[in-house]
Amino acid sequence: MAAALACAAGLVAAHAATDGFRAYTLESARRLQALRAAASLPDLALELADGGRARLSALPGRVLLVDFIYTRCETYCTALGSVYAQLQQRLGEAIAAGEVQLVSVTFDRERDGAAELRAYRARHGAQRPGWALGRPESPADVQRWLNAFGVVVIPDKLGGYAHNAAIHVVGPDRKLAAIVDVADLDGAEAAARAILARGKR
Amino acid sequence: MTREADLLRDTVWAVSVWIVLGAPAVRALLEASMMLHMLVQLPLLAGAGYYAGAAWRRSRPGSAAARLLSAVQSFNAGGATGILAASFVMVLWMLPRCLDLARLDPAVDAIKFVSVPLAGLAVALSWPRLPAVLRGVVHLEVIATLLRFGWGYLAAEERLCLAYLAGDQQRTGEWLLWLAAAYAIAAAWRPMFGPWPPLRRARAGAPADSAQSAKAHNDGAPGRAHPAQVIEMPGPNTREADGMTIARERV
Repeated sequence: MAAALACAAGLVAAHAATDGFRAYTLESARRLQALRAAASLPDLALELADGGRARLSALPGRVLLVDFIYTRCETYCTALGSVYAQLQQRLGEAIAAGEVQLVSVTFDRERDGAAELRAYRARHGAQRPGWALGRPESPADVQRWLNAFGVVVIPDKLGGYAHNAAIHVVGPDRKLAAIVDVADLDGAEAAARAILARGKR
Repeated sequence: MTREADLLRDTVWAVSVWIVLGAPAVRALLEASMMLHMLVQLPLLAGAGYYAGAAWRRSRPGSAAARLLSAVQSFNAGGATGILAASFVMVLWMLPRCLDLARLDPAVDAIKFVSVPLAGLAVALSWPRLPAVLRGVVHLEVIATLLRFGWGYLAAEERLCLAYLAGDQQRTGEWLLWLAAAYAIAAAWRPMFGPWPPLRRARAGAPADSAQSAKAHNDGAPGRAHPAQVIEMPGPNTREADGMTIARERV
């Protein structure tokens, strides 16, 4: 009897700890969470590489595609950079209409100033319109940005960082509506267009 | 040393290990690497709980501790409740998501620091009551779990834990596989070859300990019985030994 209870309690705990046996990693958990119920984001601010500062709510664009980078990164941030350059082309007309904005946030505040961020964008052959880059205003602010989106950054022992790179889709209500894999260009585009289509109806 | 002092000493040891592991510097050190987190901190936490549980099991009949123990054990027929609960706790904490949360969220880590020693304690209370066949099942399940997690972490192409690097994850997987092999050998050793020779010598050289070792034998404590006795004592006898344990606890 008690053994059956222990078994039931164990299954309940396991169910709760894995979102019903669907998310065994923190990354899958946060992606699942975003899809289930878009989480509100605090209205955080960025120092923009093109000058000025803006809060999340004040960034132009009904849909924001937010990623986290550091410009010295030579592995997947490079991938992210080229993915963003491609997204800029694919979503060109929505960007021109001011409906979509790409946002890259650096978490390496010490090293990534405005010049480094602009160089990063230029390195990927991308233009300024529709792709804002920025850095949080203080180290504590960096942590707030990362926490809000569920991004974990750890030193990679080679002088760089490892982090769960992804494209974060933020809707007009500035809630985190979806988290898409870096390699999933189609998915990111589809998620952005889905939100835009929803708004038009 | 009197029995009470003996038990007190063991309990103090277990609690000390727990406190040291919980000290901010030690915690930060052991949780900074996935391998240390999973293969050092978790086993030590469980070990501290096991040690405390083993001391509790030897508490003097009639004492408050013994009365509480028999009350607890009345929910633990055949040791099944304790072993099941402990299995869930240990498997859950080996999941990448839980390792991550323990590393990143102190509140979750606090839950780990309570639940893992309790799992060790539950094993200490339950193992002697567990029928021999089920002990074999548990051994197999432990080996299988270590292999599953080891292979999973070793073969994963991406980082499963956000708080740990890919190399660390791979090394953890590799060591889990080695641990599974070592556990398999350790579990198979006694039935096949008898007690580990150094243990046997220590026992022979310490007759003063014989009373305790005989008692441990009755308790069915692992690693104590002579192989011949193991062979003469299949399942039903273990149950009988278990009955004696219960009888003594209820005195």
